[in-house]
Amino acid sequence: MFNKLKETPFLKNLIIFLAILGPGIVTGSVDNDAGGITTYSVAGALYGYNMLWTLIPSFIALVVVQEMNARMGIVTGKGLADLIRENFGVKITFFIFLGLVAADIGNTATEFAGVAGSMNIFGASKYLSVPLAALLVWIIVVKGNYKITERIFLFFSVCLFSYVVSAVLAKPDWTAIGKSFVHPHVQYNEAYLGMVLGLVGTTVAPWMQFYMQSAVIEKRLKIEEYKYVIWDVVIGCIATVVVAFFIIVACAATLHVNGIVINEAKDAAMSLKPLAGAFAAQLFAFGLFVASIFSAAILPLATAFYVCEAFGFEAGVDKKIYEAPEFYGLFTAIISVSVLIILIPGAPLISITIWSQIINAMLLPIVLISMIRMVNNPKIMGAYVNNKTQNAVGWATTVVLIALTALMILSPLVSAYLK
Amino acid sequence: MINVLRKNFIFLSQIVGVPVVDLATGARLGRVADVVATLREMYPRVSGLALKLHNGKKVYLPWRQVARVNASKSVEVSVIEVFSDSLRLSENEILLKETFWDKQIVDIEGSKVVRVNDLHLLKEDLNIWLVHMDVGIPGLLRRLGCYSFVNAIVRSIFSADMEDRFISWKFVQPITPSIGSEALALKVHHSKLSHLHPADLADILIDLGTDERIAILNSLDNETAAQMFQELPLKIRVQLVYVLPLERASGIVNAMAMDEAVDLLSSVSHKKLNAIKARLPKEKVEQINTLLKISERVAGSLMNTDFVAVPHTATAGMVLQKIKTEAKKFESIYYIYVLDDSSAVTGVLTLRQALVSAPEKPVLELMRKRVVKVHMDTDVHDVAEIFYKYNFTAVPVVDRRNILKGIITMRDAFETVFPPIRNEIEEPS
Repeated sequence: MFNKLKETPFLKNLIIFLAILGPGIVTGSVDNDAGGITTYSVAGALYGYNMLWTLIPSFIALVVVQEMNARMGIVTGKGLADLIRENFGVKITFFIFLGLVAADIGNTATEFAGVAGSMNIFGASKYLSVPLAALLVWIIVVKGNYKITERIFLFFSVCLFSYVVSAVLAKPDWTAIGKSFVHPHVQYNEAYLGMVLGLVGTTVAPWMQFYMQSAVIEKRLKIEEYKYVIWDVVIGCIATVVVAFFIIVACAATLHVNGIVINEAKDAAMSLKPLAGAFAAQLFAFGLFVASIFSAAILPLATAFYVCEAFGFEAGVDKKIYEAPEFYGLFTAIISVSVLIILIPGAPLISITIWSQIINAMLLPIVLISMIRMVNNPKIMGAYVNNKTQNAVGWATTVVLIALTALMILSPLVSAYLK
Repeated sequence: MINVLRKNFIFLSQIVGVPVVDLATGARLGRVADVVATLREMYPRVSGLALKLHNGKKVYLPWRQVARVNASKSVEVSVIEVFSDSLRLSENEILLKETFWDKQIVDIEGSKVVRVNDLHLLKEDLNIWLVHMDVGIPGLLRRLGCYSFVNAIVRSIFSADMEDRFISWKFVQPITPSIGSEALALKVHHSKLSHLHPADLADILIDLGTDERIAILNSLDNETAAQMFQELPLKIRVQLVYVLPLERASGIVNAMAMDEAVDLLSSVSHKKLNAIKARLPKEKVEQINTLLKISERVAGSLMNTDFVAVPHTATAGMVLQKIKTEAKKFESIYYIYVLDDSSAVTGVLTLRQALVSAPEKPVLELMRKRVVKVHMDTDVHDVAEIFYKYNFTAVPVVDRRNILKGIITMRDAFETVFPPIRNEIEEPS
């Protein structure tokens, strides 16, 4: 009977789709990491529903960029790091990766800070929670089996929807939310603009492109299955912005209404307690914990992966430690350094976060331009180069993202100069 | 001064990018954009330069015009001929930088894929040969221009230089899909890949991108490609069937063992299946159609329709002769099945028996009459049990009238009963 069911087109499509599902959704979920949750919480607390409209351009940028990665992955069967090395030479690759490694160490440290902050809500000391979390991450990745790991990751993605409950418990004003999309009150001052840049910037990060492309290759798809991959990408991006939406709403409905200012995602969870109840606060903290540990596993893994890929070292979790010493060495080193940064008393965590964001912002244009140039090269993509619409949208996204990141880097300098 | 024959090594990175200077006038003509080498000899010999002129144009400069090579400094040339307008390579020539720098190659000795950082060239006076691929970290640092700096630090700590990692040209198989429009595989005639075991070849293929996979497959004949296909994960086999030209894909399917071919074809779309079937011999298509209809849970789905069978009138010598001439198409040659006039199985003998007997001895005297066999609809688990019980390497499959239809090898039976084993080997995770 099952075979009969498989013959109906809809079910057949659904079965293929479920088998392919994964890369886009996992990438989308890792995107909402500790840094992302912090940005969304702060935005919601400061500007209420007024920031929600930025999720629309973020969504478009995400879909456009990830679609190109997915297509390149399927057509060439090669990782983004491989392609950049082969087409742009060793020097540019080296500098991209120098930056990426530095930024990713900073980002991983931010993730462990998220672990420390969220476990703090449940009363655990960071000297206990962070080393344990690091060990857990290390064991899952090094000793674990890929299929189990992917399932754990997909489970993590589902957990992120705890923010939906948190937001509903905060009893938001749905009419105001609707209005904020139709008539956003855009303010033209530096602080507001900075927040917009932060929100868009946190959704499109350079390492994601590398991760996305590798994840697609691992699925060993053929070009006929491309349409299913698009759906995976779109669903992943929707999941990203939906989670972001509810985090902003949760903070807007409680903190903003009561005029509470926060600096960290942890503060948001704590402030939720008297306003929306202990359960809402715990759910928020749980979401933060899941997101942090999720990204703390993926980020160092992805980094070790593409560095080894580009420089020709053996890489992969299926290899033994002695077969791929560079890979495991790099993975372990990134985790260890990030944990140390968190555990050193008085470590300059905020400037580390800011600097890793700045490095990311500087790398993004380089990676995006390399990508667009390659995706338009018939030698690489054959018949699957960008068409005119794809190019228009792709370039527009790239130019806007570059302009935004340039603004983000330059605005402190300009304002300092004007003063 | 006497011209002493000096022998030494230089790196490609010490030639690419240096200024090209006119020997007579000292005028700078441009920079070295790439180095041309001819593949006619055992080791590729440098036969020219791709010179990038000041106006950005690339031209070809034959090597005989080069008067001196000063590593990392300049290339001095005596310009006799007018430069040809465009960069045109002859049939056996390749551009070294474009072909190898940052690209992947197959290291035949280590049977793995590595990325080339630099090329190690043997310089004998003005003759330069490509002898090694540099795949080590020093090569990477040399390209980045910080080798001496890093090496000085390393030396001060470990009091030793960093270790180079070279692969000799003898063990290098280039896999760059195409140079310009021509496939490199056509230029490098002698495929070194044939020295590799199909299973190792499959491991290499898994590590590569789509174009490189096609390039490697193009350098293999259908039989080798089919053997390697068996070792690839199903998903990659399917991917390849879709990206290869139909003629080539059908050629490989035709050379595959029947059970493997059916395994593969049952995973492709109807359209692809029909297109491939249209290019296969008629009797093969009939067999495939029959096998595709059989459920996966019964013996018929595992069987291979190529087996060694002889009429009951044959002798040991005839058996050996048959195996000698047709061995290539059989998956297993250890058991020889004896058929009666109606093609029903009456006995079996082993290759060992055939080898040690006098050639004129009739098979009827050698064979064992009691043949352990399975039916087309025997459950695959029962098939596996027979292997366990009797320690056979292959078992015959017969239909209701005892007509021999095919054989099942131990490997095929195990893969079905323990699918996790095959998955783990194919897709280590």
